[in-house]
Amino acid sequence: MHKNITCIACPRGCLLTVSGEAEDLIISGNECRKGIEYGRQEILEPLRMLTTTVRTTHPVYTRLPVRLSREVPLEQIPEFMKVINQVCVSRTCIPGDVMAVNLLESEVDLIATGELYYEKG
Amino acid sequence: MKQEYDVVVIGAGPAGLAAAVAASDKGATVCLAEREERMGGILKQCIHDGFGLIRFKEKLTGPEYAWRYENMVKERPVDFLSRTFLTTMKPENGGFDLSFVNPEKGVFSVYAGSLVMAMGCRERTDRQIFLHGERPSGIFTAGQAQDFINLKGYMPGHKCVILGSGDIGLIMARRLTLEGAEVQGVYEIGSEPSGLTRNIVQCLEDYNIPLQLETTVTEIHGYDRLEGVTICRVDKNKIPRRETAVRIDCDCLILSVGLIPENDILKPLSVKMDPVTKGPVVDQNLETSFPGIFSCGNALHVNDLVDYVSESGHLAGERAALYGKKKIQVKRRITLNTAGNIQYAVPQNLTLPAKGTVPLFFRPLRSMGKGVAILKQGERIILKKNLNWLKPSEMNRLPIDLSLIDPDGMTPVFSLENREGVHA
Amino acid sequence: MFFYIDRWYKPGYYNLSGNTTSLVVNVYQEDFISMKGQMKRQLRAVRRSLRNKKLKFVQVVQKGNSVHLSGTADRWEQKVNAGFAAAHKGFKGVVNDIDVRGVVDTEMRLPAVQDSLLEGRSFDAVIVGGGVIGCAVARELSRQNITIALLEKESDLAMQASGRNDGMIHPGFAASPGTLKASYNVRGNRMYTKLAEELGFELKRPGSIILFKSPLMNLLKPIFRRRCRKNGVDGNYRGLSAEEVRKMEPYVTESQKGGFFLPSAGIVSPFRVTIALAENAAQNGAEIFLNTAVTSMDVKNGRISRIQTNRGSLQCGVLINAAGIWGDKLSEMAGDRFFSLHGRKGTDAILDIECSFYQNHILGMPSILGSKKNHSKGGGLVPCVEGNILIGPTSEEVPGREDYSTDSENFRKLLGQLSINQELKPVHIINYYSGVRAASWEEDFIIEPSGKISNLILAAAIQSPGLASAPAIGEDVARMAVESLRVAGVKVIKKKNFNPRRKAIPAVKDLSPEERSALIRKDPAYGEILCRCEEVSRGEIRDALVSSVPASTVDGIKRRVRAGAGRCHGGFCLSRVIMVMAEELGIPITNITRKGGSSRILLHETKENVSDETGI
Repeated sequence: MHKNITCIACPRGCLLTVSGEAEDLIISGNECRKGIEYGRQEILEPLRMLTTTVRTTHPVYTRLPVRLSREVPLEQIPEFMKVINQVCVSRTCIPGDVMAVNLLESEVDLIATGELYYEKG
Repeated sequence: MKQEYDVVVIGAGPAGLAAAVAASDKGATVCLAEREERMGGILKQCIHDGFGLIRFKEKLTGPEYAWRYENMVKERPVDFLSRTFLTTMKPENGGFDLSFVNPEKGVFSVYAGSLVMAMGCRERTDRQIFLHGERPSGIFTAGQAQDFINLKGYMPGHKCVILGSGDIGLIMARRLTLEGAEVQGVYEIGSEPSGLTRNIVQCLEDYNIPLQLETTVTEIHGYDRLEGVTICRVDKNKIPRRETAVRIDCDCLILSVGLIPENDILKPLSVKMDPVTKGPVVDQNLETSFPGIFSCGNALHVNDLVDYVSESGHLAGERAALYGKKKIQVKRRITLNTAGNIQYAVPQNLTLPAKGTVPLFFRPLRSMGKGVAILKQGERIILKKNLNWLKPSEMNRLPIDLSLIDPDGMTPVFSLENREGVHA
Repeated sequence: MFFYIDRWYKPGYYNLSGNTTSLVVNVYQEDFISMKGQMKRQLRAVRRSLRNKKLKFVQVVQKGNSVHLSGTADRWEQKVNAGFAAAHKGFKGVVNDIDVRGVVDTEMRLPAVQDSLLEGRSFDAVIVGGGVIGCAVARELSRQNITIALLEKESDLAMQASGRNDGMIHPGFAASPGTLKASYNVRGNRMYTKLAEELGFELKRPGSIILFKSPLMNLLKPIFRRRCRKNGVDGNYRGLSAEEVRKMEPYVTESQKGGFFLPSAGIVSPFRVTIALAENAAQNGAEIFLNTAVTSMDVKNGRISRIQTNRGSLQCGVLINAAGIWGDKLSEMAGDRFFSLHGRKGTDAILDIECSFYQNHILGMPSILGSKKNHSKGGGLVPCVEGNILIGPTSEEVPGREDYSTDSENFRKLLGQLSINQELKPVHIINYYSGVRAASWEEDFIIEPSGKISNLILAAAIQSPGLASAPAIGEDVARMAVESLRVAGVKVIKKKNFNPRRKAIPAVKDLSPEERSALIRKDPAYGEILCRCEEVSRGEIRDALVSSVPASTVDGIKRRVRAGAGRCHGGFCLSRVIMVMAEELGIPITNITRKGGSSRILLHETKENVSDETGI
C-alpha cells in the first residue's frame, strides 16, 4: 500500500506518505510526532463527526440541526445519513437532547444541537 | 420616554452576545438589539462542528456555541430587542441617540452611553468579482446556500460548482454532497486555497471533490436557470487564459469569494476605516476613532475562529461598560505600525499609557514557513516570538503586555520576518 | 408632394379621418408619375451609398415605399453598415434582411404557459407590449369607456428596454431638431411633473451637465443654446465655466474645462414608472395579461380580425404595437412590413448608495456631442432617484435581441466612465446589467397609424429618449387608437369616473418617525425590516404581491420595493423574501422563480422522501 495524505494535526499541513501494511505502517513526510498518529488513524480507520439536520413538524423551524454522539468511520457516513434522514422531530428539545438511540446498532446516538420549542397543548 | 442604557450592543451574533455578557458583568445596564428574531447570528446556520475549542475547550457545532452564549445573556439583566432594526445614530450628550424600528414599538429612540458595533460581515457577491455572462437563477453565495439547506431545508441545486475556496464554500461542498447533490469541483483563482487545511481534507478529499487552483469562472450560461459555467485557468496576474476555457454543465454556482465587514451605519459619523480590514481603526480597547463607539467580531475584521470573535466581543463589551465611568487619563494615541510580511494587525492604534495584556491579531501577507514576530519601540524589543507555518488564511494571535510600551517613546513597530538563515 | 415624402405617409393607403385623407389621395393621383421617378432616384442613392461603404454584395429592391436589403454578409458589422447606408435616402423605411454567416436570427422567447385564458374574448383596444410605452398608452386609453387588454410576454412589466436603462428623463437637447424624438422628448419631459404627482412615483430634476474636456468646446455653447431653443427645451439652460462646474460638482476631475447645464433633466425609476402607469390603467379597468405573447394574426380586408396568443385567440377593435424590440416582427404579422429593427446593447453599472454624496447632477460624457458613430446617446453618470449613482450605458450592435448578458470587454469600457468623478472607484460597483435598444435604421421613433392596416397603430423603434417621451407618446397613440375605433364605428366617450391617482406602496424608510410609527401600529408588518441594505419591510413586500398588477417573481419584488437591490445583492434577504412570497401567494417555496419561466430558485426539499410518521 502506498498513499499520500495531508496531515491536519496543525495548520502546517504536512504531506504524509504512508506505506506498508496495517500492522506495520511506515509514515514519512511528517515534521512532528503528531503526524505519525494522525497518519496511522487516517489509514486504519478515518473517523469523522457527522453533523446534519432532521425534519421537524414545527411550522417555522422546519429543520433541526443534529450531530452524532461520537465520531464514526468515514465510510459509514452515507449509511448514517440515510437513517438520520428518516427522523422527524415533533417535540420541544434543547442542544444535547438525545433524538434517537443506537443508530445502525452501532451504539451511536443522534444528538440535537439546536433548540426547538413547541407550545404546549 | 426614552430608554437609557450604559451600553447598547448592535447585533446578537457571537461578538454581540459576548459583548452584552461582558458589559453586564462590569455593572453596566445593557441593551442588545438584533435584526432577526433569534440570537446567534450566522452561527445558527453553521451546523458543522469545530467551534469553541479555545473558548470552551470543546468541539461544538455553531448552534451549540450560540446556545451557550444565549443562555449567558438570558441569565443577566440584558434587555434583548428582537426583530429590531437600527435606522440612525446621532451623538448626543457624550453618548448616542439611537433610532430603532420594530413591529411592536414602531419607531423609538434609545439613549446609549456607549455603543458596541457587532454587525458581523456580509459575503462578496458575483457582482463584486465582476462575473459576466447571462443572468439566470441558480447563483448563490455560500452563506445563502447554507441558510437554505440547513435552516429552511431546501436544495438550491443538484449539480453544483463552487467558486472560491473560502471555508463556508468548502463546508457547503460537503453539506451539498451529504444531502444528495453532486459537487463538480471547487475552483480557486489564487495559488493557495483560502480555507483551512482541515476543511480541504474533511470537506473535499473525504468526498473526492476536486479542488482546482489558479482557475476561475469566466462566463455564466443559461437564461432562466443556470445551465453551465465556463472555467479558465488564470495566469500569474489572475488574468484568465482564454485558450484554457472549458464549459462545465451545472445548475448551481456557489460563491465563496470573501467576506466584507458590515460597517455602513458608521459612515455618517466619519469613523476612520482601515482599507485592508474594511473595519474601523481601533485601539487596544477596540474603541474606534469616534469616542464611545466600540467594534468587535467580524465587523472589526474577518476572523476564522468564532472563539476569537467572542474574545473581541468580551473585550469591547467590557471597555464599553467602563467608558464614561472611569476617566482614563489619555496621554497619547499612537499608531501601531506594521512592517515585513504583515497583511494587517488589529488593533491599529494604541492609547497610552496602558497596562494589562491585550491580544494582537494579525494575518501574514504571504505564507511563511519559519517566521519571527517582533514588536519594537525604537531599538527596544518588546516582544519577540518564533512562529511556524503562517498562512494568510489563518489568523494569528499574540498577547502583548502593554505596560512594556513607553508612553513617551517612539512609535511601536510590529513586524514579521523570516527567521535568520532559514528560508521557507 | 413634399408633405408626404417628409412625413412618410404612404400615398393612397393612409387612413386618417377628415381633410388629411383627401389631401393625401389628391396628391397621390396628381403626382403618381413623378413619384415613380422619385423612387428610382432614391434607389440609386441607396446603391451609391452601399458602394461607397464597400458593401457591393447587398441586393436592393423597392417594396411599396420602403427599401429592402438582402444578401449574405460575413460579419454583423456589415449588415449594420448596410442598414445605416440605406437610411435617410427618401424611403419611408429600411427593411434589412441581410443574412450574416454563422448568425442565426434570434427567435422571440415565448412564455411556457399554454392555456385558453383569452380564448374568445374581445377588446376594443389590445396593446402588445408591457413596457413604458404600452403602459402609458394603456393608461391614456383607460380614460375612455372602452375595453382594454395589455399583453406582455414576459412574467412582469418593463422586463426589457423599459427596465434596463438609466432612468433619465432627458431634457430634449440631444435629438436633432425636427425629429419625432426631439418633439416627443420635450413634451414628455414636461408631462412627468404631473404624472409623478398623480401616480406617486419619485421624480427628481437634478439637471444634467454636459462636461467639456477641452477649452475649445466652450465655443459650442451658442450652438447648444440654439439647439435647445429649436427643440423647445425647458428651463434656464446655460453654459458653465470650469469654475461653475466645479462649484456644482466638487468631485469632478480637474480636467473639466466647462460645461453646459440643462436644468430640466430628470430621473425616475423606469420600471416603477412603467408599473405605476399599468397599475393606474388597471385601476381604471384595463386588463393586464402577463406571460402572454402574440404568435400570429389574421388579417382580412386590411384589418386585423383575430390575434392568436399562447393563451387563446382574441379579437380587437384596434391593436397598438408597442412591442419594443419585436415591433417590426409584430408589424410583419399584421402584414405591414416597412421597417426593421436591430438590437443595440447597452450596459450600465450601479454604484453603492454610499457614493451618493459625491455627485449632485447628471453628468454627460463629452462623447454625446452628436457623434455620428454613436447612434444612441452616450453614457454618463446618473444619480438615481434611490441615491445610487449609475454609470453607462455603453453601445454595441448585437444580433441577439434578447441577449442581456454582460461581458468583460464592454464592462471595461464602462469603467472608463468612472474617470469623470475622482471619488468613484470600481470597488463601489454593486451590480450591472444590459439592455437592448430597439433601433430602426432611420434612428427615429415610428409613431403613426399603419398605412396599410386600418386598425393597427405603431409605437415602434422607441429607444432613448423613449422613457422621457413615453407620456407624450402615450397621449398621441391613444388618440390615434380612439380615432381608429371611431372610424370603425365604435362610440368612444370619456369615462366620468376615471381616477388619475394611484396609491403607491409606502416606502417606510422615507416616512417621518411619526408617520412610520402610526403605520406600524396599524400593521406591524411595516415594522419588520426584511431587506437590511435598503430597509424594506415585510409590509411593503406583501403590498407588492397584492397590488393591481402584482409582482409574482423575486425580481418583481426587487423592482417594486427594492428588496434585494442593495449592496448585499439579496445575500441576506432572498430567503426571507421567498418565504413571504410563498406564504402570501399560498404556493410552495420551490415554485418561486427569479424572473418567471424556469428560473426557479430552490429545487426541492431536503430529505424529500421522509414521512411524518417516523416522528419521535
